[in-house]
Amino acid sequence: MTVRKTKSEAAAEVEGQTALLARATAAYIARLKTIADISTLTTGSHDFTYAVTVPQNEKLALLPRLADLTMDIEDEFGVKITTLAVAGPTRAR
Amino acid sequence: MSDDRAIAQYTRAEFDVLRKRLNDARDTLRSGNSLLQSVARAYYIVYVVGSYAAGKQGVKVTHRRAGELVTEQDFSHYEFVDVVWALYTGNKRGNISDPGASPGIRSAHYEEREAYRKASALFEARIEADYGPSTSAEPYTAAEVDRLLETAKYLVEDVERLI
Repeated sequence: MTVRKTKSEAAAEVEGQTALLARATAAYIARLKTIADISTLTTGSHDFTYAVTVPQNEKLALLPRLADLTMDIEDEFGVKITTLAVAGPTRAR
Repeated sequence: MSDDRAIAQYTRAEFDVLRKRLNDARDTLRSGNSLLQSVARAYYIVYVVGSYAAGKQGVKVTHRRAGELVTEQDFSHYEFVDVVWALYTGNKRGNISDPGASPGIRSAHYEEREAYRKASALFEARIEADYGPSTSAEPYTAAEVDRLLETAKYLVEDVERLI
């Protein structure tokens, strides 16, 4: 099924989505800081995709927390988010 | 002959063949100690079974293509966790615009939120297996890999109830 929109409808939708994503991003970044080092955060090419580097030896343990963060932001803001954890240097525990 | 059908549109015979091919690859890689690649094959099995089950249940996603919104059953890998969620709950998430008729998956290996976490971990492992970056060819122990393989097995057992 294909839905066509007029230009004014499309512009209003983009404006609304942009404002929503700004609020969602702020909340996401604030909470991500409590899980990972966000100095390594990069944005991806797929919609609202972020990649954050985490220590290789902590990655498997951190994945559930990143999944929970993603679900929480999606539920609060109604946006689609993808969080990728990139394996970085190991860290002594 | 090109065939751009989504997995959701495969026949049962096509689905069974694809699944067997992936199962065989997973086991061959694991027995040869290609640990992370075996997890990647296990991820693909869950993706294939999930996509096929979602097709049966009428799950649909909405994509924007050339400025137009298109509703379809061609699930991307980035939508894999949302498909899993839709199957376990019967509800929308992410790009899922129609959760279809799934009654949800109850009394299963995983409850819905845990299933999302497990699916996400498998997806991440597949990305790492295929793209890295990593300073170690096999960054995880055999025990860690076997836990991921078990996760995939349990997700498949849960999801295939809907096929």
